[in-house]
Amino acid sequence: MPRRFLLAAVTLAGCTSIPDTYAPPIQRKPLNPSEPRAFGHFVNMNDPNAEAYFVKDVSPNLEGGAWRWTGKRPELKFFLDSVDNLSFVMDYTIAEPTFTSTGPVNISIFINGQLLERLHEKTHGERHFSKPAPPALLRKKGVNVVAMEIDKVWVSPADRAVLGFVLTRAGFRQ
Amino acid sequence: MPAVYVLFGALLTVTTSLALGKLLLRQLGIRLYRQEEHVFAFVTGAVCLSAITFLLCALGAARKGVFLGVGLVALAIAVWRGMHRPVGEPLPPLRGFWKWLFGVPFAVFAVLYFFNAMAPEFSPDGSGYHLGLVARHLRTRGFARLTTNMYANLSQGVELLYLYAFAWGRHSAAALVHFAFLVTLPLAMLAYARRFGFAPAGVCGAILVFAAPVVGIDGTTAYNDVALACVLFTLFYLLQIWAAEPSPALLVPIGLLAGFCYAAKYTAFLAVAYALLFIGWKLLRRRQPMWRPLLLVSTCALVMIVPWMAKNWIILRNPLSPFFNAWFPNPYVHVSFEKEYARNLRHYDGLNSYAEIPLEVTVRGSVLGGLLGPVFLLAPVGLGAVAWPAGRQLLLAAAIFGAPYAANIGTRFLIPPAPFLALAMGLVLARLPGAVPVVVLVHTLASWPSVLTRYCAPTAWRLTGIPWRAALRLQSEEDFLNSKTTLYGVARMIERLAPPGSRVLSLDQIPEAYTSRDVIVGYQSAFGNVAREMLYTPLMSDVVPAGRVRFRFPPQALRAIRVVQTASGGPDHWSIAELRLFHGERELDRAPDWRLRAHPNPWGVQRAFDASPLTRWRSWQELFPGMFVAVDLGRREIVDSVLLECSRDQYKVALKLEGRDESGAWKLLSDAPEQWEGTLELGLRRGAVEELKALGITHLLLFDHDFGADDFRTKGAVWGVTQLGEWYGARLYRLD
Repeated sequence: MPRRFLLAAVTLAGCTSIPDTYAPPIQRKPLNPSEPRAFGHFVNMNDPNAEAYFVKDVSPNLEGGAWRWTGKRPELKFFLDSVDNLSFVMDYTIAEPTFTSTGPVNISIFINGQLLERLHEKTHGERHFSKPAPPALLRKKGVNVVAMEIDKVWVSPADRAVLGFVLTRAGFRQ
Repeated sequence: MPAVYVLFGALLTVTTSLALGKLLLRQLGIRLYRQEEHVFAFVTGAVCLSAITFLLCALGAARKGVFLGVGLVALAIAVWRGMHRPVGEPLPPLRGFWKWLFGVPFAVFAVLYFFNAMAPEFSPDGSGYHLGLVARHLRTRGFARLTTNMYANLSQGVELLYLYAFAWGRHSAAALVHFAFLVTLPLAMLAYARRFGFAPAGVCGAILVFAAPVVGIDGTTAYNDVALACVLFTLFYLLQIWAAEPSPALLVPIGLLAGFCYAAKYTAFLAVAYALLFIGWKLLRRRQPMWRPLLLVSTCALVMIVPWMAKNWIILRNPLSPFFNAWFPNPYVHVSFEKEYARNLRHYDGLNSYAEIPLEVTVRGSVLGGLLGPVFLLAPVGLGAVAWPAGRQLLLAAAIFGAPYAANIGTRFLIPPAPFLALAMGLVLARLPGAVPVVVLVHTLASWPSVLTRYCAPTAWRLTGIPWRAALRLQSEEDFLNSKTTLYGVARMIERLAPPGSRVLSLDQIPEAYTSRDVIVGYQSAFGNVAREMLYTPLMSDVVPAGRVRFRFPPQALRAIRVVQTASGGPDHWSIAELRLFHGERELDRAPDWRLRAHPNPWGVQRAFDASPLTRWRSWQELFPGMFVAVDLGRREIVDSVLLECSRDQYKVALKLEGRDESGAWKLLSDAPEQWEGTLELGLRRGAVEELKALGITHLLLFDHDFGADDFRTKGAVWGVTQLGEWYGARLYRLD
């Protein structure tokens, strides 16, 4: 408290300069200290390190700068520092060209081999999926594998390439 | 607070003011009419008492006992010097009819006002910051260094009088001090009119102002607009006396009052210019020397002004805080806040057009906060007063003191010019036979609470009755306040559930006068802005630092780098959550000898280097070319890329990267960065709470209407907060 406020005014006025350069502050602890640099809890298909998340059946080719084709059973791996209050989130698209051929499809989402949800897609178009992930399905401070299996795929007559659905991003969020 | 203490606090303040004023006026040898002397003594004495209280606050001696001592000494000297004995001739008598026409409404409304002022205080701003700051001053025994409440940066000349009363009688005593100004104002107006020979106009003008609903509710709460109006009118009155009977002694109270207007409210800064120009003009016309009189007035005014500027300069580095932050850059009030605040004061929600203002401020009273009464729709007739010299003086004063209304269009900002306008109206109406009694009668009837309710907007800010039981404390303060506002209970909930020393972040203003906890309101300071932003970061996709911007360039040894922003315009601000330097895949460790700089807002630059996604350096100004964030590495380091982690709410930003090598010259490294969307970290909510705790915040107050309130209510465990209590949709959380 400035107890000698007025008397000290002149002196203080000369002493209150605020520096214009600063040293780096104390570094905060990471929010998820165990999470490895290579892959974490969420991936956008256009992330530079997106392929670090792929286990199988995700195209290595980035399309339109944002999405990738999947095969029949794409699998992604995620590292989770904690498993409480998490939802599995996925942005995906049922493509019109494949839908024309396959008709309605089902996509089953498995976390570490256990079924989380079965999605029945009657139309083509963009989708957003989000569902709380029970902690019992998840591995804390460990790698979690999520599989998204589509029951009908489109097979290219030309090169027998298998196309499932379009994946834009997937992972876990609070 | 027992009623006797309330009355004692108010009476001590008023009588001490009277004593100081009489001592000053008689010491200066100023000859006044008997009735005038009381008015001038109270107002000039209040000005002196405010200055004394400032000094006591500055010395850390703002205590109940000290205030009492000051009062007793002033009163003792005044009695010893015979100040209680009237001197001076009485004013020309008021004829019987006019005496009744003034006396009856004055007495009736004075009773209404007295009981409302005496009742527990619950006005939004009065119990929010006017008395919130007063209570804080009393707790800290003076001016604590407070940088988290922009209202504390405003001049508080009237609030220091409230402090003097509050020390003994708490909230209602402060309101009663304002009430004292409220009853003084019409007496001053009438005395002025009697002295200059137009008493009927004075009766009309005085009652028009006194009975005006917005004047009534403002003057019976711990606002300060009526006190300011009273001081402004007294200043005007003194200048008119000086013009008629030039006496150098009058220049002292003129200067003090003019300066006090600034000390009471920034918007009254024109009073000093008005007084100086008035005196200068008169002396010029009389061909008399003007420099000494002007110097005397200026010096007296500065005595009242400089302490407030000095206080702000010392504490906030801005003598005019919370305004002019672009002229006086400081870490306490953001330039962007100032712009937004000024804009909000000119645009009230619910007002579709400025053409609605006349009806809103006279009849409806809801959108702009109060009404003057329908009779003020006749205000244009006051322009007719231009025909007389006194009328021209009144209209000039009304124009000058009404000019700041453009900056804040709330009805109460019309109170300072209202006395001048009302007297001008009175001058014209007094020429029309029977007009004054009719207008006075209609106005008093239309302003009475039970009549008012029949035509004004239901939510108009106004008095609604005579709360005599609450005023006399026959009804408990708690019951009365809870019946008037749910916010009182919110303040008491904080007091009850947050331990002493707690720091509570709130997004809304609450009646801080009823809690001793440190309440940080999100919009009221740079600190609050930053805390609020941290809180919202996990909830706002545009604020989350998910954007990635990478500058790549050939590896080279550099001593410093800086990211420069080249675009201009709003509404975007530039921000960086993290700035990282790389050599290949390796991020350079942030060494202690690095030196970080930014322009503007250099004080926030560390937030771009703290490894937290919840904090960010932000310009807090709209874009302009030349903004930069720089790192001096202190030595040569090989660098080949710079990564920015930033939010999306800055679409217009254009960036380039510059580097400085041994030569000392800055050179362009890259102006075509790669950009992509990064991955959000988990745990942002918990991280936000940790950052708030690092700021010293211990509790959070959220109303159910606040953005994100649902998320807190349903995901308390994720945030890491515990709800301690709830009161009518206000929830108090502890940060665990």
